[in-house]
Amino acid sequence: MKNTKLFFNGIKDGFQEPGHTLASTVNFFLLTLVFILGIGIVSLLSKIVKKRYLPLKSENKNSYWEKVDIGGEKKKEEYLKPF
Amino acid sequence: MIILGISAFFHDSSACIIKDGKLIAAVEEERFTRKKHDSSFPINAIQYCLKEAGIKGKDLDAVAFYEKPLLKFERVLSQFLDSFPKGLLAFNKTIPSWINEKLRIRSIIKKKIKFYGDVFFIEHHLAHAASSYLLSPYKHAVLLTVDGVGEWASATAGYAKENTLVLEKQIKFPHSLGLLYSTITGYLGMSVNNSEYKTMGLAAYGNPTYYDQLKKIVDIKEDGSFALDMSYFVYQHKMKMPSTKFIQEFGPEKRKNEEMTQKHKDMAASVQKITEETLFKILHSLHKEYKSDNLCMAGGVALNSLANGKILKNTPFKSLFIQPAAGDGGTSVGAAAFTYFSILKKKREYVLNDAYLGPGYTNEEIEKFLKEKEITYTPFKDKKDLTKKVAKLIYENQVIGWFQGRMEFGPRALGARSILSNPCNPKMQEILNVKVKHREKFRPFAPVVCLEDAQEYFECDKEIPLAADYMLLVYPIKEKYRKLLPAITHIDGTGRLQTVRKGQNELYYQVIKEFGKLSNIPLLINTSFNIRGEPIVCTPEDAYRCMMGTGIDYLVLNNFLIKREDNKKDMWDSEEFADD
Ligand SMILES: [Fe+2]
Repeated sequence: MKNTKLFFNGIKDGFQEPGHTLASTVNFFLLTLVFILGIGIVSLLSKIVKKRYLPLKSENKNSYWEKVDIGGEKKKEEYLKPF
Repeated sequence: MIILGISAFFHDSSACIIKDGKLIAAVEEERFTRKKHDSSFPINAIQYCLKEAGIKGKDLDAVAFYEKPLLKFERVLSQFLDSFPKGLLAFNKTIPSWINEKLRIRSIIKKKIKFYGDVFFIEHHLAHAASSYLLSPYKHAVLLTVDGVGEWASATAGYAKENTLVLEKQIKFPHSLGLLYSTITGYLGMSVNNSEYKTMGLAAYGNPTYYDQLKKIVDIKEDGSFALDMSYFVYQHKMKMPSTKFIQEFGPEKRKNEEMTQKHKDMAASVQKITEETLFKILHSLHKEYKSDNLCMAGGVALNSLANGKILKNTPFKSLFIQPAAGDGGTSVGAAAFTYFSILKKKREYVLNDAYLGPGYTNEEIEKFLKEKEITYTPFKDKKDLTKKVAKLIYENQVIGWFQGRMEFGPRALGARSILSNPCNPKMQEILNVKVKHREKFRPFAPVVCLEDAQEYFECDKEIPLAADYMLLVYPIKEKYRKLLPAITHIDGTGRLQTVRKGQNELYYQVIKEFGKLSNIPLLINTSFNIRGEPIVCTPEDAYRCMMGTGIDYLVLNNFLIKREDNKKDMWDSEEFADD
């Protein structure tokens, strides 16, 4: 019984590293696919309509402060949202 | 009412507990896992906090998390959308942790701490601001937070009155003073999000000769608001920071083991000058706008003690508060405090008195450990005898590992897990470096002084801000003492002092005073109790191990004195572990 357990544990340990490699490879390909199809398509469409997601180029204005409303007297429910 | 605060999954994960309006425990996860800046879910820190409160996870009234993860995810996706087709590697590296952890905060909390109640998500910079204001003695203040980046903001400003905090404006990512400082830190061959304080130390050796050149890539307006020329940076889509254009204009990055040249020092001085200029401009404008003389700061840039020490002299503010964990580690406290005082509107009476919020050990626990490990030690029944003995040892140039009471919260050792030594010995910097710290030659050691003696030795502000208790202000050392205090005088004549008040840490206070009786100078070197690359020690075992692996001569564990030479066993060489 003990030997059988050891045998299977050995197999399990032996497969662990190639298992990890396989999982990372699959993950890499899936994520690459998401990157190309998901991010890529949205990004290309955005470029066509000239939409930018980051304010990379700042217009030369008097102040770079941007108005926000963080904190203050908001309802409790506002803070229960993760967004 | 008990609130648990959590900060996790970026860097410096931490947890804290606010019980009936009082911060009773706060600690970074790295101290338990021994992994510097550990960003994993802070389960050890949480368990410690719950133990301190005498409860289980299910008994909590609420949990507060230090950011709004979906807003941050929106920013991360925006970075990839904006830079496509660049960013594939960063995408592959970043996204799995979002799927597995960062977007599953509620379920992780349920699973790991069995808490099924309200989880509050507090915006990152609001948590920063609250960590300062809600622990401060003020009833109103101007708020300024500056860091690398939170969800979208890299800096915010606003005001606070009673229990209400309002942030009215922000500088939006990718424009970031913190990331500019980090870019230069990385450019100088040091680790980003870790070694920024080294850049600050290096600045004193240089002249800001790159100031004009750097100014071209940072546009600073009269109100201090700023924007970066992003053609000089690639951190918005890569795992590195300066762009090819930056390298072309400023020359190649310094490699890790390359010698520090005058150019590197000048770069450090230049970015420090830009940081100070920006901060002072912002503060001038905020003072005018919000009309309060009290200033609360937080965020990684608020750890810039060189700039902090100049704030009251260079701006109209009369009072300044920064809590000891001003970086992301402190946001767990901000989130919990905001939830308790601002959302749940509980009465605000608490003021942070000291940073000793981490694990502590009783004399019985320590003696048990010493006996179990067969360590030779001397117990001291009378605390006065102990402080006199330690002061004498320091006076005789011995290096002391000082482990007393509860561990400090925040990145600085403040007399609970410190290494103490003689600041008057011109060779002490070298001795400490050879024996323990293995740190860069350009980095000075910091002094500790009792509050009432600080004005005698330093050119401090008239009213020394509470932030000095947390080693967050650099002041010039008075000219006449510089030669007498060679080990703590930086090349520019300054020192990053810690002030100690009498009720804060009795034994620490007494050792400093006793040393003063022997040397006529009541100051000590206080440096963190760790070797380079490791977090500050937490347990008696960590402390003993650190002493035995280094050249620390004596270890004081509460009331017990241990001499390294009496315990030759278990030697190991800390040098092989020393890291950046
Ligand atoms: Fe932050």
